Amino acid sequence: MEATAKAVRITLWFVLAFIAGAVVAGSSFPTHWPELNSIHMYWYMGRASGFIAFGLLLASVVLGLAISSRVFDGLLVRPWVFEMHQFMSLYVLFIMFFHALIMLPDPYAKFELWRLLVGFASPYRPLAVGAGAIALYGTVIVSLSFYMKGRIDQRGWRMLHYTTFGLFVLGMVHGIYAGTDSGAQWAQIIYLSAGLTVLFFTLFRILAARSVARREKAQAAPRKPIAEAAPPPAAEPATVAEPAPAQ
Amino acid sequence: MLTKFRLSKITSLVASALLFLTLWGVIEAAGWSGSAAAPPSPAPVSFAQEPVPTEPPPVVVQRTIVVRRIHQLGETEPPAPAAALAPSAPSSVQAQAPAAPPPQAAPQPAPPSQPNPKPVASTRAS
Repeated sequence: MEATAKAVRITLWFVLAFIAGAVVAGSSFPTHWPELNSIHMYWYMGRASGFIAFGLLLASVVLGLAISSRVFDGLLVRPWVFEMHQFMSLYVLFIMFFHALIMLPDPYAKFELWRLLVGFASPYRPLAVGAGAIALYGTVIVSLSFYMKGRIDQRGWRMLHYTTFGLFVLGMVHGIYAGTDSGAQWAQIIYLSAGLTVLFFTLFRILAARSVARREKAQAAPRKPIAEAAPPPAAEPATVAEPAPAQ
Repeated sequence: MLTKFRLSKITSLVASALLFLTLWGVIEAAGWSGSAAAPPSPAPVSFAQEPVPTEPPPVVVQRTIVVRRIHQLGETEPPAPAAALAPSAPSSVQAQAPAAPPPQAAPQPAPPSQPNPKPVASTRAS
């Protein structure tokens, strides 16, 4: 009952944040409304969708770190965090494919489908585009693993999801070196803030795991006589394992 | 996919679509290369105009001064002081111009009449 009330409260906050975002976006439309008949339309759409994909990848990584480190436990319900983490992992895949395919009709870049899908075969900045292709395929594997969790053991699941950090870095490298906006200040702010966010949550995750391990060790140690022993620590779950996907 | 927390998921879908449109507009405003400073289309070609030659007025002025000096030297009036006629700053043109003759020294004043040691004798006998 309490969890339901919390979920409703979170949803209301989400709706409020959406309304605020829509107001901000709507206020910028009169000056920045995209021109649909521009000759560079596909290129602009590809760049914009690249930033959206990068933001969704960031959200997915942060939500995954929040599950394992329990950083949002006081703010968000865990089923919601896990469900949104899984949803973002699939949604980013859709946007990534859109980002790659929308470049094809551009009359200036003249990409070919096989060159985009095969890593490092693109005539335009092959290393950076290849990094993006690897990030795409890695995200496909990690996203599919949500539906194969019953066939993967816990250790394999963790190792597979640790590769998400590498995929995030590859996505950032792809954005910085393949994107033509990288010189703009707003793009640099986006990349820098995204990198710092992931770094912060990763450090939090490492420190939380260490703290849990220390408590486990303290609990496993032989107890001294009551007169000399310190008060026992508060009982906490011993592991930081991710919950089973609620499907 | 949309069975649980449907409102949150639909909200994130719509929010990302709006953000996509906003980013599209911002990137288009920034231009093809990504920086607003560089215009997407080349600047219109303009032909440079030939510079119009202008007469150096100082030359005329300096010659006038020289003529005036020569003219003044030829007059009987005492020449004006050199500082009044000379320009404030020397120029290259001035260096090429014929050097004006040095101002003539001011005429020596007449030697003072020596006092007569002897008073003029009066013809009238006292």
